[in-house]
Parts: sequence; structure tokens; C-alpha cells
Amino acid sequence: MSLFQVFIVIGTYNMLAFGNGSAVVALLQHRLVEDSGILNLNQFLYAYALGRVTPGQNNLYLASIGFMIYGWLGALAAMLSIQIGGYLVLPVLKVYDRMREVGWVQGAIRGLGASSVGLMFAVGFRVGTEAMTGLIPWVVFLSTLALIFLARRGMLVGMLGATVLGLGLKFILPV
Amino acid sequence: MSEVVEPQSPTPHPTLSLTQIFIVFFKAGCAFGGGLGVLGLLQEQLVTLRRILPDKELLTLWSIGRLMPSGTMTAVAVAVGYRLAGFAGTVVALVAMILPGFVCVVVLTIAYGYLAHGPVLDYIDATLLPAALGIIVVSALRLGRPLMRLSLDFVFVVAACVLVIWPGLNPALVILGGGVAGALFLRGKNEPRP
Repeated sequence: MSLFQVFIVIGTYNMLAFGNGSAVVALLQHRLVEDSGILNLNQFLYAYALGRVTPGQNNLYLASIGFMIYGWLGALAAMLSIQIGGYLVLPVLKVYDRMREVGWVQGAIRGLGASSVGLMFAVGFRVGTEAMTGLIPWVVFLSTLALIFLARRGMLVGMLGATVLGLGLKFILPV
Repeated sequence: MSEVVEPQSPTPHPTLSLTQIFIVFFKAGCAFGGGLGVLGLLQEQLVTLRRILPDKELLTLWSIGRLMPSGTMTAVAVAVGYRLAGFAGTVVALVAMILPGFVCVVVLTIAYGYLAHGPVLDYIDATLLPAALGIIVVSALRLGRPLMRLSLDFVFVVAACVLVIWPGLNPALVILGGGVAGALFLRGKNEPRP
């Protein structure tokens, strides 16, 4: 697979998935592991896992896949391919700016906003059912909220502080 | 490219210098928890601290981003970057947002041989997810605060939440459906007051 093919495959699959990250994983796993054998399953799963333990968007794990195939150039090609699609929002933004005062557009925007908030709670619920499986996760979760709301340390400090606390507990406590 | 202010647009577009945009998006890119974690940091930086964007505008841009065939936050970075500093703002916002994660991902990929079979990633995963959950909850509460009272908008919130959890509909479809339903049922209705 050439560098250009890496760029096209990752970019195309990322856009085809249309907001469904799991679909990208399935498509890429089929193409890179089962079809072509460019990566073995362990490499692929490791790259995917990195998306969860590194900051930023989840789809940054695609840089790991690009790096495994073509080194730094592959990582950069993967990143470029998933960023370009974001520019499709600009024409939509232009249309939105022209029509934002129209009654049905305002209704649509309110509907989009309200359903987006619902989606955030749904994601929170899903992450919660996966993550809150013992004492340490609850300590980390509550510490994050405490640092943000009570200590007013900001989200980043709250998150990192609670994570460091959790890692410390994980090494100390056998749970 | 300079920002073109549409005469039809009722809100004057705010601006930030490219350096400020880089700082805001770099901080946001340091958030764990995927796109919602990044959104939470953006909300804190742009809405709460700098008062550059109203809550509703950021939520709208995020909703539009969800409908784009790319990563949601990629589209949000382009949209916000463009709002703040035109085309140059989009490039700076994107680079700054992905930089922390990109560097971490590549470094950890280089360390594949050392980390792939050890417990370190599991440990990080087990402690980062709950912290990320905290960010997601705070972000949802802050952005959704005006909607948390008995209203038709609140019905949309609950319906979207339920439809994504069960029967597990595609989030992009749920948001698109929310937009269509909003155009039909929310047009001309008073918005719930915060």
C-alpha cells in the first residue's frame, strides 16, 4: 500500500462512517488486517487503544496506524486525511449565517441543539456503564467534579489531577 | 483570508489573534474523553472564561459538526477557527487541537514493543475514563443548562438521549431527526429561559 493509498483509505473510511467511529474501526480492520495483512491484529488493537488513553479526539489513533505503516510520513498523511473533511462545514456555515433568522431554521437549530445535549448525556451514560466498575473509578470521577466545581481549578487541572490520584490509588490498592 | 461579515448575520463575529486561537485549541486538545472532552474545554475557554461565543452558538456549531462526514471536533475547530480569524484561524485551530494527541499517539506507537503486553495502558485507561466522564457530565450540564426545565426542548433532550442508548440509533441520525423535528415543532415557539 503506497503512502497515497494510506491517505485515501483512511480519509475515505473516516468520511464514510459519518459520525460513527466504530464503523471506521470495522472498515479499517477489515482492509488493513484481514484483507491485506499490512498490520496484525495486535498492532491494530494497540493503535485503537491509544485513541482512548491519549488526549484529543478519539480518531487520532489513525495517526498510530499511519505511523505503523509509513513512519512519520504515514502519521502525517493519516492526520491530514482526517482533517480535510472538516472543511466541508464552511459552506454549511455560510448557508446557516444567511438563513439563521428564518423561522424554521431557528426551530431546526433548537432541535439540533437539544438533541445534541441529549446525545452528550447518552455518551456520558455509556462511558459511565463502562468506566464505573469499582472504588477507584468513583474516586476519580468525584475528584474530577470536586476539583472543577469546588476547587475551581478548571477542567484540565481537574481531569489530570483526578487521573494522577487514580493512578496512585491503582498502584497502592489491590482493587 | 480576511473574515467576511455577512450583512444578514445578526451577531457580529468575534475575533481572537492567531496566537490566542492556538492557545485555546491547544488546551482543548489536551483534554481526554474524546470529542466531548475537547468540547468541554472549548466551552470553558471560549464561553466561560473569554466570553467569545455564547453557549448556544457553540452548541449549534457542535450540532452542525456532528452532521459533517468528518470527525465532529474537526468540523467544530474549522467552524470556530473561521468565525474567529477566517481561513488562517481554521488551520491554526486544527493544528493546535490535534498537536497534543498526535504527539502522544506517535510516541506511544514508537513504544509499542514495550507497552503492548504490559498493564500500563490498562491502568491509564481505567483511571482516565472516569475523569473523562466527569468532563463530559460537566460539559453536558453547562451547555444544556437552559434546556433543563419542562419544555418541548427538554422533550427533545430526553428523546435523543433515549434513542441513542436504546435502541442505539446512529447519533448523527438522531441529531438530524432532532433538527427536522425542531423545524416542524419548535419554530416560532418561545425558548426556555435559563
